[in-house]
Amino acid sequence: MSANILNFFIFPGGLFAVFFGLILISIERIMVARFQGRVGPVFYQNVIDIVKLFNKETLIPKDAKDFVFKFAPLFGFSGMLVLVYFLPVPGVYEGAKGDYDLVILIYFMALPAISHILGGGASSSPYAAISVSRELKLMLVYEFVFIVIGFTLAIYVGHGNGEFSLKKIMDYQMQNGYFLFDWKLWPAFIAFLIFVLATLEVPPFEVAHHNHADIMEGYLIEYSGAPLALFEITDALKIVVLSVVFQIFFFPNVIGGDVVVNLLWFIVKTMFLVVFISLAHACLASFRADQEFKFLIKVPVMLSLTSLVLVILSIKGLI
Amino acid sequence: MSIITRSPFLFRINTGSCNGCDVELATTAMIPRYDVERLGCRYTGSPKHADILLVTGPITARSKPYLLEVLDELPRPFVVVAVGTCPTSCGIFRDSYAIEGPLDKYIQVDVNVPGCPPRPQAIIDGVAKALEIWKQKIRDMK
Amino acid sequence: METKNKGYEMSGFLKIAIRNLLKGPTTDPYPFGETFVPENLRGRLSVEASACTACGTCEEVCPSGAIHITKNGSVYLHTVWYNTCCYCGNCEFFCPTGAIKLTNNFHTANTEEEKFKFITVATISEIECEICKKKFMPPSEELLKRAYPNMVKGVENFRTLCPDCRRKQAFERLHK
Repeated sequence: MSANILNFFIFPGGLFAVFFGLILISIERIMVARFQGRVGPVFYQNVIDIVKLFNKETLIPKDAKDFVFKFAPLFGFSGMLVLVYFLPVPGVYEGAKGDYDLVILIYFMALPAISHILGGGASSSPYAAISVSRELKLMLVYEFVFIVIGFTLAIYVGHGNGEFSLKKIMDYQMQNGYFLFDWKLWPAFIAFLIFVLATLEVPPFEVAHHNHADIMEGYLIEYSGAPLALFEITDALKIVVLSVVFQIFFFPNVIGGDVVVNLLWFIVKTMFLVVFISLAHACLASFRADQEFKFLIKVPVMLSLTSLVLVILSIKGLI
Repeated sequence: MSIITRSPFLFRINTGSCNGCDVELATTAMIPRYDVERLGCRYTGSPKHADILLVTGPITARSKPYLLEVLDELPRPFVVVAVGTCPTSCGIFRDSYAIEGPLDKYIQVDVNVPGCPPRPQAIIDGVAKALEIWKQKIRDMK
Repeated sequence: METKNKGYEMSGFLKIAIRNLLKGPTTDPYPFGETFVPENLRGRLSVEASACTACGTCEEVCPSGAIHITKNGSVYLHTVWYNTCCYCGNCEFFCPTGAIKLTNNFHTANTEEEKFKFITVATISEIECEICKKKFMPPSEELLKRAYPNMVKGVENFRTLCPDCRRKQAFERLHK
């Protein structure tokens, strides 16, 4: 189906993405609990959390910047909502067709981190200030990894010229084999998985927020009530967007032409990503800020640059 | 609206306790044996996210200003649970020069769980009773 | 310097995670099922009124002042307030008759309305002497067994006659 206003609000943007994302976060919590030998919550736990947060009162600290504090969550929320409307889901939804989708994707992917930084900076708390400085430092590195991966794919599909349309990336894979099985792009695939862990702030990359050890919730420490609910919804939308991006970049497999069958296949592929995220969450300890920076500069950046070099060499005909 | 009471967020504060009750609170959340996440609870790091406040320790004179700050920052509706004998009635430290009295003097407490320390199962009982009182407070606030 | 702290050492926990997934959770089923209660758990007190003589040892020895013995006419009231008891076991250790014991009942959560009603009361009443009709507190069976373990006859006098009449009776038996 092609994009119209109903797609923005109901399916697959809007309500469907919000509920699907909240259920995915609850399933990730259940998987982490099972790996640790516990039972874990119900599968719709985060939906109840959001309903409860809308029923509590909102407290604003005295020294906070009022306007920025109240409206900071809207940046990330609106950015993710627009992305869910824009991106094509293979076999189910065509997206808002355009020739420069990839550039818009790269820009909007950074918006939730911007809203964290604005919200944390506007609350007048030292915990939030430390968390904002850590988040700024780390955002530079992992956004750079994502840009290099996107650029690599654009050059590969366009044979030397940049091809920034996501539909053409998917069509190229349908004809010439999926990028998941292409040996030149395996380093980019591993770098993308590390990017997913870093941008969702899941251990081992948990130092900027929610690690309860030194900064006690980080930039969210002064939020309560409805703005906090918007931050949680943004997190839920981000996991849906990352799953869609993962499938467009590496594995846009389609079964037949039926929408319902392709939707179920999309959900199954998302579950693999969620299992990987929860395995990393349960098994790994968290980095310090300087260790994480050194790791992110060395491993994912080198891997994505390796992929870029291999792709350039293959276009010139040397491999 | 009783579905709201299936996801309480817990915040705990230690006002000078011997850490016996804090060890029991840590076991109800983190070790696999007495998992409290089955009831939908989650420990948070900030009192502004909290629904249930768990207080341990008799209120020593040094920790009284911090407790009063935390009590100001709780968004309504919330419930307060006094864990252990010390915040309920100061226990064996009554009439000491360094103790500023039981928790009743500063805020209206909802559930008491005496014990030195109380068993994790007794703390889960106390949290379940607090959820019932919270449901009643939500209905009264509407 | 830090070689093992980089998060690469995950093979140890990976085995534990897979084993947990296959074996199932190890959570105690309370409050949705039964839980394990050990025999010697120090739970709530219980006072047996027939064995108590209201001597006041437990009130002296309790460190948090949870036990109070008051007299109301000719009846002693033994009151324990659970919200300040610290479950130390001093009273059980020092009681001469073994009337006060700690059970393994750990359900101690109570709401604020019943905070001052969370008590247990035992009544021990004085009895009348058969001869002079004065009221006195008789020694209990356990105390007599402990104080006079080998006597068989004459012990029942302790529970029916007041100390003055017993003294008079013993004097008359020896010197009449």
